[in-house]
Order: sequence, then C-alpha cells, then structure tokens
Amino acid sequence: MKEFKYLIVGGGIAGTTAAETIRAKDSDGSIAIITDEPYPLYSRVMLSKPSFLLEKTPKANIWLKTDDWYKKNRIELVSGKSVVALDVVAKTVTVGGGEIFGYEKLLLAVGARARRWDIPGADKKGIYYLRTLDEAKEIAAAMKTAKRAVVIGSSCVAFEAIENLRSAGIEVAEVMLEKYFWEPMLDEEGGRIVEKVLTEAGVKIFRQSEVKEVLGGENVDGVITKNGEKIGCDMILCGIGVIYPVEWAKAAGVKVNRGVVVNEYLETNTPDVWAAGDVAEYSDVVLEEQCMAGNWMNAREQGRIAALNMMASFDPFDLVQGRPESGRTGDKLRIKKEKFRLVSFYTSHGFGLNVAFGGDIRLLPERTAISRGSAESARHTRLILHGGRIVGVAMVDRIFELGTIVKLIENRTDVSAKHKELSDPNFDLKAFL
Amino acid sequence: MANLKEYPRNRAGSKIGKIVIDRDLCIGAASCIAVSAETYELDGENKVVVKGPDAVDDDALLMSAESCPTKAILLFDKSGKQIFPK
Repeated sequence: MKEFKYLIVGGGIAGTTAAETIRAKDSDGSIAIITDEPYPLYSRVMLSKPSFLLEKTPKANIWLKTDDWYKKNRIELVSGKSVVALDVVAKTVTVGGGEIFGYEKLLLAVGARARRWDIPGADKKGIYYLRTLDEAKEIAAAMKTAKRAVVIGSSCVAFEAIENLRSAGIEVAEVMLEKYFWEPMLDEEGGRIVEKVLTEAGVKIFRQSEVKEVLGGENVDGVITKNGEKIGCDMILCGIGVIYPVEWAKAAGVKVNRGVVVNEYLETNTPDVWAAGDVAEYSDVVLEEQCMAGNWMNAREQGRIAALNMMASFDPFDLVQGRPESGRTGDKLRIKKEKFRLVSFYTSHGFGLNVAFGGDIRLLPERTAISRGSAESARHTRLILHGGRIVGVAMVDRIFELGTIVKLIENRTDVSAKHKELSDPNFDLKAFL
Repeated sequence: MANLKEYPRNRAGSKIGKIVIDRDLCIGAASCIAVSAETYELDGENKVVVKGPDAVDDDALLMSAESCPTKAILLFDKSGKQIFPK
C-alpha cells in the first residue's frame, strides 16, 4: 500500500489546483492525484471550442500541465485508474485492479460525467457524449465525415457543439425536451433570441420532443421521437445531463445528495475528507444556501480553498500554544482555515452570441425574476431576486453588465425598492455599486 | 487574424517585457483575476484587459498566465521571445 499525506481523487482543474496549492506551502508532504483519465491536466473548456473540435489551432494548446510538471513538483499522478472503494476508518482508497492508497487528508474532486442514454438503440455506433478529452477526440474524428447530426439537449455544450457542426458543413437537428432552448436557465425571451440565431444558421429545432429509439444497424442512421417524428442522421451528440461518480464515497458514509455535501470550508461530514469542484454541493456564504456550480472558475477556487483547509487541519494549535513539536516538520504550516466565498460565472459563445450565467439562476418558488431587454432588441438579461437581493443572472448579448451584476450579488446589495430601475435595460446598474 | 492586445511591462528586475492578451481565445473565465486581481480586469465584452502590467513579480505573472484555461495570456521576454505558452 502506498501512503500519502494528501490524496486527491480527480485530475481536473479542482484537483490539480489543490495539489499545486499544497506544494507551494508544504514542500515535504507527499501528494498523489488519482484520475480515471489517461492524461495530465488539460483544458476541459476547450473541448467544445472550434480551436479543438475543428482543429483550428494545434492540439498541444489544450494541455495545461506536462508530465514533467508533476515530476518536478513531486506530485504522483496515478492516471487511468478509477476509484472503487473508500474506507474512512482505515483511511484508504482502492482503485480498480485492487491497488490501495492510504491517506491522511483526502480530497474528492472527481467532477462529473456525461449521463448515458438507456433507450433502445443507444448502443449503436455514432452516438457521442462530450465531457472528456477522449470523447471530444471521437467527436472531432466523426465530424470529418458526418453529413447530418442530431443534437440532444439544450445546454452550453449543445450550443457550442452545434456551431462547430454547422461550421463543418454538417446539417443539424436539435431535439430537446424543453419548450425553448436553455429552459429554464434562460427565460423564454432569452431562449427565443438563441433559437433565432440557430434557425438562421439552418438548424431544425424539435421542441418538447424526446427520442424514443435510435434507428440503424451497427451504426446510427436516424432517431424516432415520442411525437412520431423520424429524423435521419449519421451522428448523434447526446447532452442529457451529468452524473457524479461518487457511489463509492456514498457507500463509505460520505454524505451525498446530488453531489458530495460540504460546508463553507468544503469539509464533508467525514473527518479528513473534503470535496471541491463540480461534484461539491457546498454551503454558499453569499447566497446562504446549498449550491452546485459546474464551471472552471468555481472548480479552480474550490480546489485552492480545499487545499488550504486540508493543510490547516494539521493541528494548528501547536504553533500558537507553543506545544512540543509532534515530530512532523510539514505540519507547522501556519495556515488558517478559510471559507469558500465566490460568485462564479461562465459564458458560452456561438453564432456571434454571448450567453452568460452568474450566481444561482434557479427560479425557486420563493424567488422572483426581472427581465431587462427584449427578444426584439436581441439582448436580454434576466435577474433572479431573493429576499430583496440579486442572487443570479442569465444574459444573452448583454455581457457588458455581467461584472456589475456579479458585484451586486457579491455585495448583497439591497435592491428591493429598485425594481423599476432593474427592469429598465437602459438604466446603468453601476449606480447601485 | 488573431485579435491581440499588447501591454508593455517595465517592472524593475523583471525578465518579462510584454503581456499579450489574445482576445479571440479569452472566454472571460476570470482565472487570471483570481490569481492576480492587481494585474487584470474584465472589460465590457467580458474579455480580460491588463490594468497593472507592472503590479506583480514574474512568478505571480507566470502563474496567472498558466491559470488560463484557453491560454489567452502570452508572455514575452525583453528581447521579444515568447516565454509562455512555451
């Protein structure tokens, strides 16, 4: 059994930032990252961009760390291995094949995986998912010969993939359960602006539609929907949500709701176990609720904060109270526990449109929504309010006010008496900062 | 043609002579701002602009460039040779 002071499960931006943060402060502590992908850190956000999918720039550009970086920083990268079991008493993690890793501090930064279809015909060749580099490579290869594609779902990945498919000259049919694109993250007005550019680009949209069966022999040659529409295609890009691969953590007693439940310090209910990134369902100190945020900015900052808190958990009182050294040099790190505090946002680009989301954009029952702009102007902002404050924003081509609105969320500015100004697209919200 | 914006750097003792932002690549993920809020800010198009090219030392500047998920931050030495991304 190999033992590590810091063991990180997940080699994406959250896990890698955690390792980097630890190494910068704790030069001696042993660190390992276990990842089920066979690669060092790469840029997941690039996978749906034309530079990668259409090979517009050299592929080398997606790499964010080299094998040398791990060696130089003495971070053991255990790649191509999936974790299958966790024992929180023995403090060990077991990977497929039976190898066991011991830990003193464990970080769960496993991210998310594309949900798989389970409908008839879902095992045919030509069905693709976009989450990992290997999946993206398959799509890039398929796009070289495909003529007609069906895209399932109305998410950021679907939006960006459609633009790539159209740029490659591939006909696109968009099939979605929703009434309009990006429902419910955008409101209908915002969604219609997006649909207009899609339609103008020649995309055929099937709303409130769901595929019943994938048609074809060994390879896909079409789909049939529950509404009875038959759509021919030679590739399908399936975006039906994500799953979090944490069954093994749940089985070990780590609290899992949708994701791994953590407090504002990113601590799980289990001693010496933290979670960060897409998989973390965290207590948000700005919004005062449990949140999940699947974006790069959030994952990076959570990786950093989790790393600080993992280090801070090594008896911080020894130094303060002058107690005798425990014999471990690495433990006197002088690091204070920190709360995670960030209003994260992300953007999606396609067909000349900028779509952005910030904070928590769920329109929960106790919340209200305010519209700024209109479908006619082709620019629209939707503000989500809760308790007199803005808690979330979704916008189509009004990105110039993203920074201001994110600050209003961060500052917890009381806008309860300002609904008139909020709904006026010409009113400069900077006045409230 | 790439949409590049150049910012000369004149910090004493620095080996880096120029910061370049590739605005086509920048997606406004704001990782660089998290690393060095003294150096960068987002403009009205949600793209990064350099507000303080001399604000931080070379190590911090390199770290901020490395944090970018699209490698939109390019660093050049005093002789004009690109030093990041390598």
